[in-house]
Amino acid sequence: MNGTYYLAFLRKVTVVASLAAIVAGCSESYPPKEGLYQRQVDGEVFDITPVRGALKPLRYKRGSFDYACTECHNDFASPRRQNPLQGEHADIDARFDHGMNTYCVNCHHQTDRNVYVDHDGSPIPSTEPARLCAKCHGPTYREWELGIHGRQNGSWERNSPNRTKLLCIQCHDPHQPAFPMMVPDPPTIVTRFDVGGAEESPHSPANESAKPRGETEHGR
Amino acid sequence: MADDVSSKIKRRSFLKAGAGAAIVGALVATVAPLRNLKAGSLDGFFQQHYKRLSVADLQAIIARLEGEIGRDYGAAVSIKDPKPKPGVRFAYALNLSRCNGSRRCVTACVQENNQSRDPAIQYIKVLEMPSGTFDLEKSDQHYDHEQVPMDGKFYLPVQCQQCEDPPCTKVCPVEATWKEPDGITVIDYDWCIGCRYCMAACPYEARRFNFSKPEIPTEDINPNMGYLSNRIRPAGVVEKCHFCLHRTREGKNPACLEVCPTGARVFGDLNDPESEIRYIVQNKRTYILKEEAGTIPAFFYYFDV
Repeated sequence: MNGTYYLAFLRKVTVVASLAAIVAGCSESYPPKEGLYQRQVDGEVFDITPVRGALKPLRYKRGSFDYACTECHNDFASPRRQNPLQGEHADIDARFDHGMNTYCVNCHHQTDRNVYVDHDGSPIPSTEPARLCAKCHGPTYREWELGIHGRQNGSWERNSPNRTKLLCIQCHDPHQPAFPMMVPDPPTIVTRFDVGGAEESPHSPANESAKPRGETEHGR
Repeated sequence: MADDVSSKIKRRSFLKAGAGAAIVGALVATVAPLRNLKAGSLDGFFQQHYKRLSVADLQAIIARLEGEIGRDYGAAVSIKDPKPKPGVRFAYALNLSRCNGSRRCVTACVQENNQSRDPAIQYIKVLEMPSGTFDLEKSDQHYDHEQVPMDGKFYLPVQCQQCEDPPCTKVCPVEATWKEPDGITVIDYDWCIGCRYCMAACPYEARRFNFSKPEIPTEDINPNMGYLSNRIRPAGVVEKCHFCLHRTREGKNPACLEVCPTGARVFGDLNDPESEIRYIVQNKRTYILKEEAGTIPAFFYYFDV
């Protein structure tokens, strides 16, 4: 056979074969949806628990014991001021840091320890702590009412029924109201350059921090 | 000698054949990526721009994408395409006095938006800034302290600012990114060619590029996906914050707001005169990043303590 024809034939075969391979590669079908992992997402895929958790009633808890405050305070006299706190409440004294507000009965009711107290001595139920805090923190309370202070979950729509507002003591510890320090989530360090041999990479965190920021962050 | 010539391959025909083979080889190499396309991706290859899709087209594409994600990631997902709400203009406000740099927003964003875990892609950058300056060159986004906030620092989370006049959409050579009526700049991930001009144009470094196929553990995939937002992106396309449009267009809050432990973030409709965001813009001393760039962001920062 003549070599030229042979090569021309070979060329045609190659073209046809590669086209066929391309088409064959594309015509594979994906399996139907059955048997796939079904993630259960009831609420959100992220954690929206507030810093101090759900609102709890005013109770005394130690280990597995759970008392209403009045279980003791009906029997014992409640001194108007007991400084330093002793006995059962010594732990509060250890961490107490609420500025000049050092009287227990500024917030706690003198005779009914299951509730808070208003300016005029009337009780504020433990489900409405914001009314108590508003006694002193007026500007913050107004911003909280407006929805500027604190987080509002659920919806950005003003009239949405899904909207929920966090209460003061779900984020602030009333005995130590300054916002606590937190452990930050880890920074991004895995970049294209860091995959494998992160220590040697010029973009590894060790090398990054050695340089001035402006030079490594493209002018930022 | 004539016998020898006819029995052997001539020099000319040899060269011709060689050149032909080279051309065919080059052609095959050119279309080689096509061979890596899997199931139905030929449809994807010829898929039209998002704005030119009919409802039926989009449904077919979504069905195909759901199948592809099921095949590639082993998770059952549903992709929706919520449309902008008429008359709504989204804006964001962030109280820098409250932000404590805990990066909860970053983590929630990654979980919500199916961002690649390795290599890690994050839409939000929390910049640690020395107090008393707004010089972004003095910022540190890689801070790794035991506890935050640090004394003498404040924290500036930066994500897509959803500009009124976005530079990123102007430079896109294929119009794969555009601004929606509710103010959100979106990307058609199937139309993006990955040239990254938009990344260069963005003054806020808000855009991210998928250098490789996103790696997400099956059990971490968020099955509630949006076509223009958090569906798993293919490799080689640009992505960025989209104000969680699959959530916000259905009335929910963005993920970063939902988790913020300090309540530093406020999201809402700028067109609603009674909204919180409007109150902040009218009553707080808000400012925007890189005002001189003329981009008119819909993301307002303020201090109030």
